[in-house]
Amino acid sequence: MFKQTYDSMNERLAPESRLVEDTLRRMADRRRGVRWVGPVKPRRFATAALALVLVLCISLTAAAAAVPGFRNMLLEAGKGLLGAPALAQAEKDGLLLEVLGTTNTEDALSVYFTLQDKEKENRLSGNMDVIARLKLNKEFPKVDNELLDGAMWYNRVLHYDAETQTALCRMDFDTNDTYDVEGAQVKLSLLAVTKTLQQEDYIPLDVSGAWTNPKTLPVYAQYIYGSANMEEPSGVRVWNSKGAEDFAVEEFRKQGADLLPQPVEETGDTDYRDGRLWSALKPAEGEELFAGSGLKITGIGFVNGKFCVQVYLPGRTEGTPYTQCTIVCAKAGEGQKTAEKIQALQEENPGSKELSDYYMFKSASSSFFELDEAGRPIAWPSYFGPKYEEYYFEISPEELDEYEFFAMTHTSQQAEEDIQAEFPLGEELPSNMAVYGPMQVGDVRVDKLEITPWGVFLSGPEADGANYKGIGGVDSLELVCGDTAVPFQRQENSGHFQTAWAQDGTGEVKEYYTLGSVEFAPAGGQRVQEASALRINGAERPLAAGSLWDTAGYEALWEQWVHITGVKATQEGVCLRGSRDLYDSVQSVSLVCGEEKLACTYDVSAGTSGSDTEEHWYQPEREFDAQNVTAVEINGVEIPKASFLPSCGYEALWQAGMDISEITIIDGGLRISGCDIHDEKIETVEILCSRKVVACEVDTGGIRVSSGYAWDKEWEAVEELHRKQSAIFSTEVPVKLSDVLGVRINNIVITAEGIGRSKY
Amino acid sequence: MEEEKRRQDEEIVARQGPRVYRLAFAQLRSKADAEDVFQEVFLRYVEKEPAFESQEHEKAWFLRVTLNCCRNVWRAPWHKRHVPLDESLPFETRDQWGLHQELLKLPPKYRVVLHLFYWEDLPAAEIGRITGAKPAAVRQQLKRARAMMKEILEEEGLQNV
Repeated sequence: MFKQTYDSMNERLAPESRLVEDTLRRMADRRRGVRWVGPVKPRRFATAALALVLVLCISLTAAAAAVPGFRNMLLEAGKGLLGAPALAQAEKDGLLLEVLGTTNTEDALSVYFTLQDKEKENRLSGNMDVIARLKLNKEFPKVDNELLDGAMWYNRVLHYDAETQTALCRMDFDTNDTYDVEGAQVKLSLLAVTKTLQQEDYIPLDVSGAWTNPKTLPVYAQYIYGSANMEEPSGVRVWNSKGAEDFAVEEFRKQGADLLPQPVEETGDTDYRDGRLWSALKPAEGEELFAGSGLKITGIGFVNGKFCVQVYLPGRTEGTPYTQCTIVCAKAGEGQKTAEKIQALQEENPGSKELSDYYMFKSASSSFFELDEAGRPIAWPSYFGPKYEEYYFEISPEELDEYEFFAMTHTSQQAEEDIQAEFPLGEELPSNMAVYGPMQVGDVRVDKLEITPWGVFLSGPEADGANYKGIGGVDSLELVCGDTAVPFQRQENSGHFQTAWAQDGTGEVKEYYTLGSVEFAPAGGQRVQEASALRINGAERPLAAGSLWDTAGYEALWEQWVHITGVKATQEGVCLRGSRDLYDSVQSVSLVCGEEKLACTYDVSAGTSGSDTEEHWYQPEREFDAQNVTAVEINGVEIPKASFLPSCGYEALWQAGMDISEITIIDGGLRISGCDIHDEKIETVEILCSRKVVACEVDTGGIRVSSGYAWDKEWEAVEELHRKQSAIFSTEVPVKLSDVLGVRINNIVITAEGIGRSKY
Repeated sequence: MEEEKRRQDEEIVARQGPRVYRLAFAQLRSKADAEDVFQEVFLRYVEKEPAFESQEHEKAWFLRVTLNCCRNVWRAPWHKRHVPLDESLPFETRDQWGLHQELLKLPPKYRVVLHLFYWEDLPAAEIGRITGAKPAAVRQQLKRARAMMKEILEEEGLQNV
């Protein structure tokens, strides 16, 4: 059934004729040597993919500002790491390109480079797009050779130092674990830089004067082909009664006014025109959306029963500012809020969320046309010329009061460059210097803190109501190095695209990237990778061995697409923490106790399921002692005990004879769960809060017992395996999990990371 | 000469265009992005002018380049500044729309294998050659993709799909 629906869906999909024609025209342009720098067609807000992946960044701008010659610092870092100066240099027109080093992971080859405007003409910025090409001159398998020789249009600006006008950039080359790039000769070509100059997120439109019966014009089927900027068109194709007819430019200019091309006929692939001839609103003069933009609303009215907003887009010239625009429809009275949500989603969207979840907007589509010399609308406007864009919304005149409309604009400027640097792939930079986590710092949960030569990388879960904040709640971040705290500041626009791949449920829903050379942090020569503590929002967490989360072993699982982010073995069994597809991807689990190996089966009675992460429990075939466990084997991959999730003090409990596996803060107290809980062994229970210690009393309900079962992978074999116990302890004063620093049982402290929240 | 090239371009676009467009859409689930990839793929074709040894070679080249271009779209910083409006897609039935929406929830790597397996009818070994994965990994991905789709469709009450 899936195949039939999928096939029928695909049969509906085909490139539209205008796309095919446009592509053929561009192919012809390319053969003539006309090169388009940047995206091959105008980008619009309205045409992005539904999966909106956004990241916030932290930068070392404060630290960088405190250190003169930040670029030199980076270069020093490069020297320190590579034992050599920059790999390659190239300079043109006062722009200096220096390649600092490379890293090569299984998926991508990354090249780090700096760009400096030596003329100090402000040609660079922190929010620019750098358009570059990377070529590897190496023999690869025939089919793939062309691919590695291709262009990568974008890369990310990691940091910009305004004082020296230097940008630190990273460019990734997708090798997808297929290519052995070792020894390759690399050529990095800088093609252009595009700076964001201005962004307007909410320009409300007055639609009260919308025409109910507007003048319309037929849009004619004609396009001009030739050079990309249309300065030298080589011909004109017109669809008329004879079919498609090509004219030389001169001839067309002679007859143009007399030629009567046919209006565009519908092919059924654009729904809003309902199979009729394409009619555009007759453009009015209009007023600028904002001064200097050149953008105008030139028509608002109903065409063929749909509400249409027509926008005039001025022509663009390379090297001058250009403004893009989109028109958004929101529920009446919610325009500002909607704009804020869009903005927030751009900055805060954790991983991938559909915008439609957040606000209402009517089905919309748009088309472009331009006016020819005779004032006739012509389909397929040129890329650089002035044109009109029409937005159509599925809204009738009667419904119009229910909605409001606003424009969002983005002004950027692109400058072409042509700088090339060539270098051999040699010694790589280390990609990680230290990894810590998971941990809770104040009221913020952090899954992983990575310190790299190029910055600090933070990932973590979404906020959970009042229980804890996600890393979106990080307002300030410092690394404590000896007596000095090195501050990091958030930087917008890192373009950290890898989060796009976090959709597959690794649990890392959001990432911050911090910038600057941590190898040469400014704080008295302290090396940040030797930081002793992480400070978030003023709360401090030691980065001691106890909180170190070693990833040894996990990588081998990730290579198998088994997304496990943590393992623990308690007296209750084996717990795997990971992504939503954990159940399917885990084929076998065994407990390793020295020489002995105990096969485990899935325990359906335990575990938790969240939107991004899950915890699954597995039961060994017979009783065991958690203290003797040396490793857990998953799908044949051994995760050593050193790589288990932090014990957070539980091991000390087990050694004291208390087989407690979970402590959970609940309403009015806490619950202690385990396999073999005896009243007499638990003498005192206290909750350690930031400003107080709250004593707990065992609840009158005492110890409760529930059964656990193991099911096989086919959900058939059922067997009672153990009897889980839990004891409720109550407090006289309410305690919030966010205040809890730990729980003390008989003077043994379980740290905050080891304390769960109520699942009920 | 130019006319001859134009004719060749028309032929290759007619032959491979639908394949490129559908794979791009399967990956990106966005008409506009699929159109961008469509153009980029054929411009790369013009730049490289690869000599194909067989129809299979030509097909594999276009599928592979399409996948690479899709990855570039995800990586474009443009993604972070731009907000989608609903797009005019040609789907007709509730099942088609429902499946489109649910495919959005599927990780891209699974969308690839589903598309290449179900639409292109490619065996696991061939899918692996295109995606750069081992055949066993492809089979495993297919299995997971099916399981995830089953779960998603059941949750959404689209059992008929």
